[in-house]
Amino acid sequence: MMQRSLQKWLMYVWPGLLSLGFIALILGFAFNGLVSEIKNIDLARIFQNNYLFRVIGFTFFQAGLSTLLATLVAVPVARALSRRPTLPGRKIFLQLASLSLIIPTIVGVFGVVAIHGRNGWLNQFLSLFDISAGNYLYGLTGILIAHVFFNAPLLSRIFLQSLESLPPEYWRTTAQLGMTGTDVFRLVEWPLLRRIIPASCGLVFLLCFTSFAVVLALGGGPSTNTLEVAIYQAIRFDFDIPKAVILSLAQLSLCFILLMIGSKFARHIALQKTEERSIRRFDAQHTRAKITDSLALLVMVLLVVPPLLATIWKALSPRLIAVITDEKLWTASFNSLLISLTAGSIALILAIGIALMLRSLQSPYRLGRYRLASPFATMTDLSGSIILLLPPFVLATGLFITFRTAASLTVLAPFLVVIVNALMTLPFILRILIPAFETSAQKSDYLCDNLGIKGLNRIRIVDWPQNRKALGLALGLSVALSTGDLSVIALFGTQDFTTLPLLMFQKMGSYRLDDAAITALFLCLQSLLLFILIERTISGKGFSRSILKPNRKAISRV
Amino acid sequence: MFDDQEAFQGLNIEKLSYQHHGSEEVLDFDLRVEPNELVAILGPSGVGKSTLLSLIAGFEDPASGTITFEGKKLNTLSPSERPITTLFQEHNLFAHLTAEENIGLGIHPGLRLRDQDKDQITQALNDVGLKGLEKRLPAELSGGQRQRVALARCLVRRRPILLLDEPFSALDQDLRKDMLKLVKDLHKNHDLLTLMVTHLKEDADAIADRIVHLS
Repeated sequence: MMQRSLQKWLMYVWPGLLSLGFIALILGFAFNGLVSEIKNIDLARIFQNNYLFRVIGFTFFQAGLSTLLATLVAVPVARALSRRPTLPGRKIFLQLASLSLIIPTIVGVFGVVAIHGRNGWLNQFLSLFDISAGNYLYGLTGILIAHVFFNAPLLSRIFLQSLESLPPEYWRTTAQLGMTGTDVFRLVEWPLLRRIIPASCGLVFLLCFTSFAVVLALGGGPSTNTLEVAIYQAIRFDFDIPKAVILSLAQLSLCFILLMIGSKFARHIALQKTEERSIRRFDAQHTRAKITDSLALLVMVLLVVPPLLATIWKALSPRLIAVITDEKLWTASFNSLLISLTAGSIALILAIGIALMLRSLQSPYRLGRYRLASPFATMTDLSGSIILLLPPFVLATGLFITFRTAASLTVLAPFLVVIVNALMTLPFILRILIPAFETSAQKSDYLCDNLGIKGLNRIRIVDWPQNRKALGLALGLSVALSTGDLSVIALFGTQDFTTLPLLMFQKMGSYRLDDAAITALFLCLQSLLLFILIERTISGKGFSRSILKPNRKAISRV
Repeated sequence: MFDDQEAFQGLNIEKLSYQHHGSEEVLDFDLRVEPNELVAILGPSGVGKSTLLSLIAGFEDPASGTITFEGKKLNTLSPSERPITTLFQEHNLFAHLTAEENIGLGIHPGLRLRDQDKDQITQALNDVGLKGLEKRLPAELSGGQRQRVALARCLVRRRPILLLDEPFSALDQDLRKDMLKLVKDLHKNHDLLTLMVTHLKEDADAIADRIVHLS
């Protein structure tokens, strides 16, 4: 009996061990590369001009400030949306907010430039009144605008879902007791938000801390460098490997410290599905609420809508045909396709292995053989934070050093881009797969045990139908994220090896903004189409439903 | 007709009609409740028992008809301006606030409490049989105790009308009996006009002066 249960217990551990082994191998190569360069480091030179500390300081500063601003925008917006469930445009906004993860960063950056750049819409508008806001974009301002552009909608969505999880009786009670908007915020909403702010804002802080494309495009100088960009410049422009290694090690240790701090607050952001129950909030009708809500929504709309409109508007230019028929675009598109599909598949396979292993290790606890809570539950919760231990540039730098003598860059570049992209999207899809596998096992373990359904039969009859939705979403998301990624490719891209995001960035760099906008649109289409195609095919949902509704509830779990 | 309303000191619900959002069905209500009367509203689920209470409390808006109390029309008043306090089946208490704070909200909606208010809270807790549980969070109380705390809040609000919406349906039989007795006592001692919605005939029989069947 013991023998049998032990056997079952370990049945699906090996795929996970293979996954972890593969990841460990890659990390080992990367780490080996970094360590092998330590002897070449001239510490005195690094500490000479405080460069390292300035970069670290700025990285923290911009990430902290971005998170703070995004939160300050998101909280009132979430309140406004919670108070007004029938507001026109609310649904579209929430859909956009859940798509914000798969809208390529560089496209968002482009939109921000189109509005806030020297000749952007804002300055054009102001020039009607003979005012000029000047060139305020490049530097800290630009970084903050772009980070808030991406993260405020994401946070509002998380906050809103948390507010919507409150029972409708609460709003009736607050109304009957005569609580004012301020009372409701102070005594009901804020205590709730305060509990999810460490986890959700922590996530945003990390996204900003490791943000690359935004800082690269909008940073505008050495004084506004983050660690990621500094590593990039050390390799790409200074050819200074020791410097890159120092920066990488700094990044790695800071991420490790952040992970340690973060695990204290680790709380799975359990986003319950919002039931379609009618919630009526009576504080919506107060004049003050109307004013503050309008202001909050106006800020959000002005922040998010113009950049998107400007990108589309600029793309509808006479250059459209010329750019679309350019062979370079199609080569880049093809490269992006290959990279994203390969990276996505690798990530999916690795994730399936890990999720299967965790499911297997959890099963004795699930079936009630042990009374104790499973120690693997914590592991599951932390899986999402692995992103911290895999900063793309650190990985890429390490791997590059290890393999640079073994192969030419032409051979190495695609390989590195694929591997780094795969590992980068891994945490996101683990967050989808692990809970899905666990839930399905909770539903079926007893039954399968009882009926003797196991092995391939179980996969065919139980596991596949129950998990194909999650698998489709995971692969779709992973491919979409890889398609839009502009990080490692910026390091290793060449004339002969570009992807769509890199091509777009190059066009922006040479101020061919119309061309960049068209490329941006093309990139978005490719990313979105791949996402929808993959998600729909694998999950077996077909294409009959509205194309703009890619299972937003599931995405929010990310 | 105006004189009639002027004369009637209880709760008068006249030709009140309500239509669910996006539904064809129209619910109609007519009901008179004397001051100090305890009326149970009985009926199967889906006939609009709870809707009636929501309309009286101002959580829903009627399509037409009037609600008056002591001759004054309530229709246009906001929920907090009405002389009404409601006990729901569940989620009456804010989960992150202590029993004391939850009751305190009934005295000052911003929870700015003076010393005599604290005494009042202690008194109310005594009245519902929960002496000394001021600092408990709802999660640390049983289902019955939570409803008692909610009742205590109803008391400190000193509103003449008490609406109970399936208040004890989630509790087991013995507990329900105790709670019903408590409601009956509070109703008497505080001169309340009480309306209780329930689907359990025995609950209605146990305490009501009069039973109204909705169908």
